[in-house]
Parts: sequence; structure tokens; C-alpha cells
Amino acid sequence: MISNLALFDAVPIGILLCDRYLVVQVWNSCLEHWTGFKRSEIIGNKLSIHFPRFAEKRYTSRLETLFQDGAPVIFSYQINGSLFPHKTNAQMGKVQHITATSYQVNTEDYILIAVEDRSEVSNRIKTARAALEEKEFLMREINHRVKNNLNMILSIINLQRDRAGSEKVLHILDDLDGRIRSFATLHEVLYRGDRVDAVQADEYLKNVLEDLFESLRKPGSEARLILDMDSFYLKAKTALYIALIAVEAITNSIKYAFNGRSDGKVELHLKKSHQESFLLYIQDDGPGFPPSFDYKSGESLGLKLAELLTEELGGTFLLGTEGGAYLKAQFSSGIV
Amino acid sequence: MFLDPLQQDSLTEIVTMGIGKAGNVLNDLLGSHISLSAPSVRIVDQSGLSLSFDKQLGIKLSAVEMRYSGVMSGSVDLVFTSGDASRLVDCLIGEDVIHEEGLDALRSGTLCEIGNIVINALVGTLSNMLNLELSYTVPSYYEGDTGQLIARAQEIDAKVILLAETNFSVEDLHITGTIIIFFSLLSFDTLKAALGVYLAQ
Repeated sequence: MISNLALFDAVPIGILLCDRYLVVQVWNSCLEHWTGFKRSEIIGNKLSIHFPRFAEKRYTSRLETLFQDGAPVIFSYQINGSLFPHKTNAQMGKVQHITATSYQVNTEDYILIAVEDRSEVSNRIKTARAALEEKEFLMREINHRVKNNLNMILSIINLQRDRAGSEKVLHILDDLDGRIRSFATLHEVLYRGDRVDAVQADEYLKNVLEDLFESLRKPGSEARLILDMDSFYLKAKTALYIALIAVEAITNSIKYAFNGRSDGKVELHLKKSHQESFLLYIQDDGPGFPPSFDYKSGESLGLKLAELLTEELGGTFLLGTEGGAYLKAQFSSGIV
Repeated sequence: MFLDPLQQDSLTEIVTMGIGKAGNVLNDLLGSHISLSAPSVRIVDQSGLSLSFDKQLGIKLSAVEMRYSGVMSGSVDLVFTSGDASRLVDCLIGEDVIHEEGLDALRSGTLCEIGNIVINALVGTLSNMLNLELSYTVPSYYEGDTGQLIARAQEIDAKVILLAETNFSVEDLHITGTIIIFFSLLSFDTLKAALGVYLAQ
């Protein structure tokens, strides 16, 4: 009835042919090798005798559809496990991907089942995953150590504060503290977070900016920092640059917006606009930038730095005065 | 307008039956509760396809494709964003969410089986109800973006496209999959004629 079996034996995949009652007609040499069952043991018997799962309705009902509309049926390893295990060696040909199609021989309908051994692919994936996990572990370890080192530098800066000697040096140390703290917090968030390549922007910025605001606010001041941020992940480098830009803008506001008053506010909005685009908008309620102010001439290292960082991220940068000083930066990439 | 209201209603009914059947097969197979919502069915042209995927512009997509031939020819695809495809596979096989671009060979095999079940149930119902003799290729997995999806429609000269959006709900996960049936003009005329016969019965 079924001729030319040599063809089935010549291919490097398991092939079996069975009739609509799941009685095996062809069992190729590859399946003999992978399952340990000789064709003499299998042919003429129902498939479920040696592979009982083929008696389950969830498999028989799907195979029956091959005789109704003829659409191929797939059984993947992750959902079904190994449907043709070796009778003694559980590791042999374990990871199987199975495709069943209808096949006609002399006007009789049969089911042709092709079994691919994907064990090698699975092993490679496992190896790659293990390497990835190890890399993630090492990255976390590095982030932990870098964070500790940066905190040590912050402690040294803090000690140096006692010997500052002038307001100007104190301001420089404050600026430096804010910038380094952005790095330290990023490494802490990366170390503690569930991703090693990205951080949740709102959580990270909240950590950096609330600490910064508290540390720079003058004693007795009731100035407020209002954060209004969408929740999304940013690539680590993008998040760091956004934090540094925000640090510069907020530091600038604390220095100039609240002179002569104990209240006031700085608002920060971080809004995801479309797909990968997002907007950073920071505004205080102070007097705004002086008419002759030109940050590009080097009057403000911090704001110049903010512009450079925005450009580095391919964003657009705008400073202005409208009910206070504002910084507006728009970005079209960086969200993950 | 591609179909008159009666034909559109009948087609929606048949697609809904197919999706319902797919949900039952998935439940039996996985032994867990997965539900597929009643689909929203639309017929569009190539520019309509482009508009429908406007929100996914630039986002990586993961899809399972089965080509069909016989009295009609074309392709049926089940499309997810890659992130959603990954979440669905992880949820079904009980793995932690893995932050990877696209699916590896094993996980793409899993998505292939899910797509196979959904597409088979849909085309099986469609061909049974409308008496259409069709044969199908083995399902295959592909990744791409909206641009490539539209290029595919042009490549197979699909002038008419059926879009059926359904929500897959498993545990706390709710994701949207879109079934796309690409038709040539001739194939769509065959479908319309078959719907006419179905309605006359």
C-alpha cells in the first residue's frame, strides 16, 4: 500500500503515517532511533498503545480536523512537551516540534506527522539565557559597586563643604553634588530594578529630584516641587541625561526663583506623547530669565550642559519666560 | 463598500463562531481558562490596513501565517505586537516575563501553535459554513513591522483585507490579536458569492 519507504528513511526528521483511526502505517528510521521503538513493534498498532497521550481527546479532536478541512496542525514542545519520548532514554530527541498534515495515498486519507528534534536549539537557547543571566548578575554587581563608590565621593564632597570658605565654592559643591547624585541614584535603581538596561523614568526622577530639592531648599523655605510624570521605561543613558537636565533646571530655579520669598513652586512634567516621543517641561513661578540673559555665552554652565545633553539625545531644547522660567525639551527616542 | 449589511453580518457571525471554537480548543489544550472576546470585524483595502495599524507604527510585530489556495487564494495571519506575543507565550507556558526582542525558536513554535489553533478554527468554520474547498500551507512564524505587513499585502496582491480583532484574556493578562485575511479581488468575489448562497439558504 505505502511504497517508497526509503524516501522517509532518508530525511533527518521523524516521520510517521497513520490512518484516521491513528493506526500506524509508516514509522521511519529516525523515529526508531529517537523513540527506541522498532517499526515492527509499531506498525499496525494504534499510536496510543505506545504513546498514550494520543488517546486524549485534546489530541484526537485536533487530528480529526485534518479529515474535515485539511488545515495542518502543530504541536509545539512548550505546550505539549515531548509527544514521542524514548522508551528508556528520556533525553533522546526530547524537544520536539510536530506538524501533522493530511496526506492522500491511492485516494485514501492519512495523517502525515513530521517530528523535528529541536533539542539542539533548546540547548543553545538555554546556554544563551544562562550567559544573559550571568551578564545581568555581573551588571547588577557593577552597578552596586559604582553606586557605593559614587556615594563615597558624595561623602567626601560633603566633608569638603566645611572647608568651602565662600558661598561661591559652596554653590559649586552643591552643583557637583546634584550631578553626581543623579549618577549614583541611576546605578542604585539599575541595581535594584528588574532591568539592567532601562529604568522606570518616573521612579528614578522622583528619587533624584526630591532629594535634590530637599537638600538645596533654604532652611525654613516652603517652596514646593510638583512632579507630574507618566510612567514608562527609558534606556539607562537617556534616563541619566534627562535627570541631569532636570537637575540643572531645578538647581537654577532654586537659586533664582525664590529670592526674597519663602514659598513658590517648581513644576516638572514628563509626558509620553506618541510611541517613543516624550516631553520634559520644567517651570518655576519666579521672575523668569533676565532680558539680557544668554546661557549660550556661558553665563550658566548648568543650562548650557542641559542643552548639550538634549542635543546628545537628538532632542529639541527651549528656554523661556512665561509666568516664570521654563525649560522645554522634546525627545523622539529613548523609550523602551 | 465591500459587502452589503446582510453579507457583513453573516461574515461577522461566521468569524465569531470560528473565534469561539478557537477559544474552546485553546481551553481544552491548555487546561486553563483562556477566553477570546467576540471579534470586531472590518473589511478594508490596503490603505485601510495601513490606517488600522497606525498606532503600531514603528513597533515590532510577531505573526503566524498560513497561506491558503483552492477556490480562493491568499493568506491568513494572526498578528500581535512582539511585546504582547511574548507576554502571551510566557503566560501560557508559565515562564517569567523575559525582556527579549522577538521570540526565540522555541517560543515562536509555541506562538505558531496558538496561531495554528486560532486560524484553523476560523478558516475551518469559514470553509465549512460557506462550502469552500481550500488547502493550506504549514503555519509559519514571522516578525516585522507595519511597513512589512503592508508590503506583504502588496506582494500577494491583496486588494481586500478582512480584519478581526479579538482580545485574549488569560489570568490577569489581556492582549489584542488581529486576524488578517488577505484576499485577491477574485477571491473576494468568490467569498461574496459564497455568502450570497449561504444567505439564500
